[in-house]
Amino acid sequence: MNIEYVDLENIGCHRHRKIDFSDLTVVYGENRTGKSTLVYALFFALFGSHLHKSLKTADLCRIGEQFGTASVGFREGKTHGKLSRPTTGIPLLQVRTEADPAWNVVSADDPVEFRKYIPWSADIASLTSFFREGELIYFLQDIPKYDKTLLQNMIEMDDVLIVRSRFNKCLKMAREEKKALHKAQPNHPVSSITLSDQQKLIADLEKELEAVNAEHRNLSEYQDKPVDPAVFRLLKQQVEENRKALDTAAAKRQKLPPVQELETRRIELEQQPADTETITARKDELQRRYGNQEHKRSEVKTRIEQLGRLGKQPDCYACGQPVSRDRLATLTAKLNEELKGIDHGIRTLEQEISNVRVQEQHIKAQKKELDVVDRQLVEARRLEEMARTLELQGRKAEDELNRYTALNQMSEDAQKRIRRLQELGNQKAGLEKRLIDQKAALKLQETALKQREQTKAELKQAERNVVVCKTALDAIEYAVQSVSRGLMEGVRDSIHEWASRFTFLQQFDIEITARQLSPIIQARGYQYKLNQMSKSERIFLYLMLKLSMGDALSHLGAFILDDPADGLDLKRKQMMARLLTEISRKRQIIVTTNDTVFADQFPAGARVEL
Amino acid sequence: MISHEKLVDLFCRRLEELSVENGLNVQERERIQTMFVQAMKNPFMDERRIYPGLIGKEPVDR
Repeated sequence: MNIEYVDLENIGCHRHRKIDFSDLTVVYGENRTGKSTLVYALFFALFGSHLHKSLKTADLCRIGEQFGTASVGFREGKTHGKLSRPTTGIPLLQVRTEADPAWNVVSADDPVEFRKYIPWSADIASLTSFFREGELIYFLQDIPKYDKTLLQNMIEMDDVLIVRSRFNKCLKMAREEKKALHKAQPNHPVSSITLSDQQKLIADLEKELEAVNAEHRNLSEYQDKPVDPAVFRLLKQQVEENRKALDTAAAKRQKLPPVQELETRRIELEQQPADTETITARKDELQRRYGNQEHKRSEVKTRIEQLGRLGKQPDCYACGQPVSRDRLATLTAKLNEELKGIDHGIRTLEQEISNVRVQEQHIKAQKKELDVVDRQLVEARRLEEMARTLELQGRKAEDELNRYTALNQMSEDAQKRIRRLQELGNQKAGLEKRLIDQKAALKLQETALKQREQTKAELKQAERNVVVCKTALDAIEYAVQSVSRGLMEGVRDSIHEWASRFTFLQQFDIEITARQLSPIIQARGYQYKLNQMSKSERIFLYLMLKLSMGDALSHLGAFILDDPADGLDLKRKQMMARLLTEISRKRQIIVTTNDTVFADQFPAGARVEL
Repeated sequence: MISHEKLVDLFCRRLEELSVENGLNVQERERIQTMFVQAMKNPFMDERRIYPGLIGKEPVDR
């Protein structure tokens, strides 16, 4: 690209300014005349951003104005273009060719078409086609930051390095997952018995158990019962206890009269008249009559006594008439007679009452006896019932005991059968237990095997994931290294070419390290560090590196330098001017300066005054 | 990044070679490629998003 002109409207201190450029243009102006603004405006017009990354594009606008516009005219082979970019708004790119002399607008919405004419990124252009003194501060740093090579630092490979770091973390994650799965694998040893062996063992056990069951069934058909000494002992004890209880009941029973006798006696007692009520009524009647007789006797006695007293007195104390002694005697005799009769009646009654009382006592005694007979009868019957039951139980127990005794003396064959049955029972139980254990072990082994297979599959997948992540990282590493290496080689080759032109640096033997774009600067057998060089030497070295990187990466075809001679002495200024003039044969040079001495070192036609 | 296209191109070429060497299938190779391109485009795409995409746990937007 050859930049033909720049046209500024309300940019920086320029209200309206158009500057034409040749292959070598020296823009001279005093301080605050807009030299750096011109460089920034050129960059902005081409790439739409500020060369100084910490500044905004709006900062380019003239103070007090809403917006400004930077336009640049360029030529690329036979194509002419003009790109007009306002600080706010859409850029306008127009191109024309010799074949089509009319200006054609290239849509800003079509980045592919746009990049046909402006193919460089702002970053690459900033690195390889623009020079600012401020960049030297960074260049002074000897050690690359953040484990990046100097070249990576300069060409800003941050994005891909970050991506590489993220892919590296992915690989770590995959490896950790794999490690975790390794740890999660069941670590108990695998049984030496294989699954099929175990299944065979179970089948054998089942077969054996079936044989034992069959024999057991056959022997069970004989229905021989084994003699259990404990049962035998128990039965014997039961018989003895039964006998004792029976004896006790019999002894008790013997103390009582026979039931028949008791029943007869009971019938007799029940048949005897026992009209208690009649006797009681009779007794009451007799006592009432006895009372009446007693009363009558008392009255008669009282009258006799009255008659006696009356006989002692001459007159009746009631009517006052004289008392007849005879009459009194008659009456007294009559009353005495009556008294005798009453006494007789009383004696009779007393006799009767006594009889009734005897009868009453007799009935009571009868009742008491009946109760006793009843109780004895109940007890006798209970004892008889108990005796019967005990006898029955005793017989049964004796029968059982006899059977057991007989069993004890059974045939040798039967005993053998029973013993065999017992053995078979034990064998069966043992086999069943072993079978259950084996089946459980088989199930456990199957589960473990399944789990092992699953873990194996997961582990396989994890290993695959590691391979995938490793492949991705290797590919990125390769791409990064290739880019770096390609660039390094390009830069190294270019340095050799440019070094012949930078005669000022000829006293140094400058090489580039294999892995980093770090110059090894040697002179007179001594290896210098960057910050051991003088400022002028660093400026020349940096300029050379920029040109070399431009060759290796790409560049605008123009090299724009903002006051490169600042701080140089006359000799170095002359050298710089000569160098830039020589470079202008290969690339377009636009250089700004406020140094008249430096500006005077260039051909007169190259100078533009602001 | 200054040489994005060149980088992606180099990456893809090397990925093809490595895929053959490591016996990766087409899906795995495409997953890696897609994730790399996406990661380069999207600065917020960190390893927690890249990893599931790489191993095929999450579907990858192509």
